[in-house]
Amino acid sequence: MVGLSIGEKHFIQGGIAQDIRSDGRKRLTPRPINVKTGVISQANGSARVRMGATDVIASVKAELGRPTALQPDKGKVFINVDCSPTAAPMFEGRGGEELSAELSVALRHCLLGGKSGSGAGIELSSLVVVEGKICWDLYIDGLVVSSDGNLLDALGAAIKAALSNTGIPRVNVAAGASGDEQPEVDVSDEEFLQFDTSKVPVIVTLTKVGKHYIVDATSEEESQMSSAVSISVNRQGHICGLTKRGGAGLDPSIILDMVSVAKTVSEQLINTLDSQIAAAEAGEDES
Amino acid sequence: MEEKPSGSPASFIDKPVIPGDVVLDLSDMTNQTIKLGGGLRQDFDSIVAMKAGTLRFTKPNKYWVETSQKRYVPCVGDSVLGIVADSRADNFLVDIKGPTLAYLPVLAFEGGTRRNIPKFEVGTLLYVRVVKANPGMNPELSCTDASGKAAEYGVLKDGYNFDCSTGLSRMLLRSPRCPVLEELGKKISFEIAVGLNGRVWVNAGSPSLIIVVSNAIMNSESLTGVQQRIMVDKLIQNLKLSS
Amino acid sequence: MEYVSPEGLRLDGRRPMEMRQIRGEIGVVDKADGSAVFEMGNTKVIAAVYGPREVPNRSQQMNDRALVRCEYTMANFSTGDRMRKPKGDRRSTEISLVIRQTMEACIMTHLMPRTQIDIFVQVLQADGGKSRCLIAAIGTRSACINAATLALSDAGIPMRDLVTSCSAGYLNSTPLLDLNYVEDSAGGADVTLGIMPKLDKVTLLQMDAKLPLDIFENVMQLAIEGCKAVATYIRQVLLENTKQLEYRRGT
Repeated sequence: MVGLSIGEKHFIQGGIAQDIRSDGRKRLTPRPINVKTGVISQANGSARVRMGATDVIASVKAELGRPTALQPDKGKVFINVDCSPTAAPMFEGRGGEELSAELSVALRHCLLGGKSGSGAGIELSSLVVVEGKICWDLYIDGLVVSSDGNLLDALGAAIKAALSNTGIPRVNVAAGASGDEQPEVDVSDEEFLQFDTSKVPVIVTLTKVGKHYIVDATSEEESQMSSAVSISVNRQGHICGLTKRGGAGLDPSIILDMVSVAKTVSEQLINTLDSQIAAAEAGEDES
Repeated sequence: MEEKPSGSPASFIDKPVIPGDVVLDLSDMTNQTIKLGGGLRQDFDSIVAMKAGTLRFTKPNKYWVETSQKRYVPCVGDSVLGIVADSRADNFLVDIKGPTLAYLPVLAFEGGTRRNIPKFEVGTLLYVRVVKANPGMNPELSCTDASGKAAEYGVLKDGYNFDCSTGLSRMLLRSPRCPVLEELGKKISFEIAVGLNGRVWVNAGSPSLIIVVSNAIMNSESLTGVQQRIMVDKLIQNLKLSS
Repeated sequence: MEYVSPEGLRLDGRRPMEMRQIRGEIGVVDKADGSAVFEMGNTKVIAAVYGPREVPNRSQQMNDRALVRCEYTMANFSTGDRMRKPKGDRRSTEISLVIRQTMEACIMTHLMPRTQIDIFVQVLQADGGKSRCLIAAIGTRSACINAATLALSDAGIPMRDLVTSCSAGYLNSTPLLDLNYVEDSAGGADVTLGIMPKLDKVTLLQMDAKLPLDIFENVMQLAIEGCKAVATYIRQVLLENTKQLEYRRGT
């Protein structure tokens, strides 16, 4: 599409410098967030998150698998994101793959922690059924349905909501299997274990436009950005992951400043998100 | 399906129609000339809607379907807001939210000659008039009114522009003036240019005023007249409190 | 297996002539020119229309009419089994083609020469329990076409008529309307039909398995009834949408 007019560009940049954005928000005010859980009935857990015109769906599917030899006491989590062509004609065919890959990698950085699996926002050891033999594999799929900026934060929120909506079936292991035999398991249809999501972080992306940075940028604002830093923060205020996107270089001192700002913003975000998730879950139970 | 073989045009006027609806039966309207506007087509003896919207009629004999879309279909005589996308030797290429870019001849300005060709950067916002709109050809624009005067057409500097639906821009241009503009105009001084292509430009004394005005306009699409007045009142109150 | 109980009820409790719950909503994707969600039972589909716009690939441009394109994608999580190879497989290409041809029949392409209209259909959820993705994909055709009709209409693309689609089948010597996944995979005949309700024309007709001619007539008649029921619903959605805009503008 043809981009913005010159006036519009100046207005966005000038407005941000004066702490007022084109939809009336201040620099550090996010858009209202709307969460709906249980939208995909075939998944173990799912959620749809809307922030303004950005609309994403995340689903969690659990399958029984074998832990890797290196980490016999941990389950596995796979995160994959797709950009639907409905969001923009650009994503048609293979056009969305690059952005999908970028988002998937950033989400893995922000939610899964290091190679050893330590420091992960998702508790991997709780996914083990029989150490070294059976564990749950969590497949987390994100889908971008409509895009108006700040996809990463929305996906992060959707995944957090989907995980709190996830019920993992209770597994009864038949006793008596020994040695190398794969033990027999009985997956319960009725009993589900709730997933502990208190440690799952939220992602806050600070987008730098001119000298200032803003949270929850719209796509118009993103088109004017010089660089962006995505920081994932959990409830305790710990930084769980960090990625920088965008071309321009950043002063290290600014990055530190951004991290501390992200920390304060994340507190509000976690609170609104938690209350939204609770409301969504309650609404789902009623209906 | 409910079939409505009624031939009387009054039955459908100002009613919503959807594609495929037969709105007029010509067989019992012989000796009459009618003019068809957008969204209607003739199929032998019947006039059929091809867009979802409201059927409108003006005397003596014009029929059209009023719609509200995000994309604009160029129509001769419409005043629109365009953004310069590229310039060629003889034409500027201008985006007017239509299916194709529109041509603005470099001479289509008041007193335009080869010697004083205006220089527009890519991204310049223009208030222009559609002068040719033939299917299959890029529409042609002009920066003058029908008598060759610049009138109010030309470059729009500064300010802020946003896209809306074509329905909203038509509402803003309607007379008597729509409530949101009337109320805003009583309390705030601002400049506005509305393009029929669903693009609106606003300029005012300070950025915060521009934002108040533009968001009030954007929100007004989903509100009734009374609600619009209430919303504007609230906004003005908030402005007074904060300043 | 018994698909219709002696009391005349199907596995999901419907009567043979009863459709699944349908629901449609317009304007769900903000950036698209037209968009809609359509649900038929457990199947949930989003369609977005972009255009008419300039043809990015000049060699495909047609001077006398618009180019209509369609892309069908299934979300990874849309079926019971998690899909491993979602994009560009043969099955989705085939469905894209079916949707494109069906919609092309109703779009007045000659009014918009040298332009392109893109229809993107995204399946969020396919009826199919814990199943293979292939059969589930077939079952979504009708929902895709209905969603595309709504989205095209929302985008204000000139159309001859709406296109609506519904399927019908034949199991246990009973014609059944709007097959669900279990019935679809039972191996009986399955007729998918798309019609233009006002013009009374068929734009899509597909059947697998064999049927005697007289029974086929019955099944097809049932499918036509189904399409018309969908059309009545879609009509209501569109009229409601226009009325709301009217009302708000206070005219």
